[in-house]
Amino acid sequence: MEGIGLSMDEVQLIQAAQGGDLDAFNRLVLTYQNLAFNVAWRLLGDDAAEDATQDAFIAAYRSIHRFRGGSFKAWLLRIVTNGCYDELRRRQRRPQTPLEPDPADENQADPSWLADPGEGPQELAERAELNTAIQRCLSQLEPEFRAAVILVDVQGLDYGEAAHALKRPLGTVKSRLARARARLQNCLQGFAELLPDRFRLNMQEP
Amino acid sequence: MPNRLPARDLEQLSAYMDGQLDLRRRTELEARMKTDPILAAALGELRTTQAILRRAPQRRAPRNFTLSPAMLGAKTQTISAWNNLRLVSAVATILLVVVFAGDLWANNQLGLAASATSVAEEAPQTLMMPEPAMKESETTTPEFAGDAAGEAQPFALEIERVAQEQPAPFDLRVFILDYARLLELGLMAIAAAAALLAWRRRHNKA
Repeated sequence: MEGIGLSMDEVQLIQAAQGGDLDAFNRLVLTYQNLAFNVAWRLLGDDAAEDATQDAFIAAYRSIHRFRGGSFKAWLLRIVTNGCYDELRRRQRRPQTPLEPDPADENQADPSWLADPGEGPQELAERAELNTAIQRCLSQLEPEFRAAVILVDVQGLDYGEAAHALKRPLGTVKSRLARARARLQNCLQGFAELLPDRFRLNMQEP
Repeated sequence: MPNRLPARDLEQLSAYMDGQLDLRRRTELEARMKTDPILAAALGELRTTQAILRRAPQRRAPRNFTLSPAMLGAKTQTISAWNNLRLVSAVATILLVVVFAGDLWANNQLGLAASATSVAEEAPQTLMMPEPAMKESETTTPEFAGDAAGEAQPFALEIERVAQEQPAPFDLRVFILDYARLLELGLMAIAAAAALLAWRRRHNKA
């Protein structure tokens, strides 16, 4: 990687990677690995996300010659989400891993990864509870709805990028997002006592 | 509350929240919200849900996902073995279809040729034989018939001997008929074995 200058921007890195430069591609991996891993982790809900992320980067390197411009992030996330869909389909065929987060999962039981140096134990506990509530509610959505809400609301992609990543028309993404949000809102009401006060949803009947 | 809204209103509110409505629809929706408290409350709840999702903790990638040539090589080997098996299975199946079609064709051709030959062989004998001779042969007494057969037998044996000495000309139809069953069985076995191996490889990977 030493041969790659720091001034090399994303377009140049992509072009170099298209020419077979693995170091250039690895620079892109370092830029996007947190995003790719988080999308896979939210979609799959467990540590299978690690394999899914690695496989996605391998697949991306193999097919980078087919990248024709546009958002590299969206293109990469399409590969990640497709890989996760494959994994979810495999689980449906051979149901051995629960789709809901496993309470025994070390990342659920030990929220040390959530720790922020400036946070006290109270904030850490709050964030862990918030995370549990979100992950449980996400896991109850169908994968396509889950992916839409993860990309737009959790990862902050715009509609166009999400549509590209999901390979769906903009209208479909809008519609899925709206329905996913409504269902998430319904689910999160069940965790109202776990949510910080400012996030408590109005549970009163009209 | 968004769950109780008509799907169209829900989609509009969701898109409005993300600034995805055009000016006309935005104005219409804002006017409706002024007079419809349920719609306004639903927007508030959707906003809270989105705020919760945006607060979802992000995990750091548990390791670097950078690629090495060895990783790519190992993956290539697996993928190419799987692809090769699929290719073998597909080619064997295509060849099986070709051989089977050839078998049908050869059967059909030889059947037509055989019926044409028997008609051609029978017709001249019947047509060219003079009527008296026919009658004579029909009325030949057993003792004369025995003499005639005794003379004809060495001649027939001689023809058969000469025919055996001369190699028969190559006939594709006969060749196909002779080897079609064997080829069909072989190809069927190859196609089935390759498909089974490919399936097992994929199954094990899953």
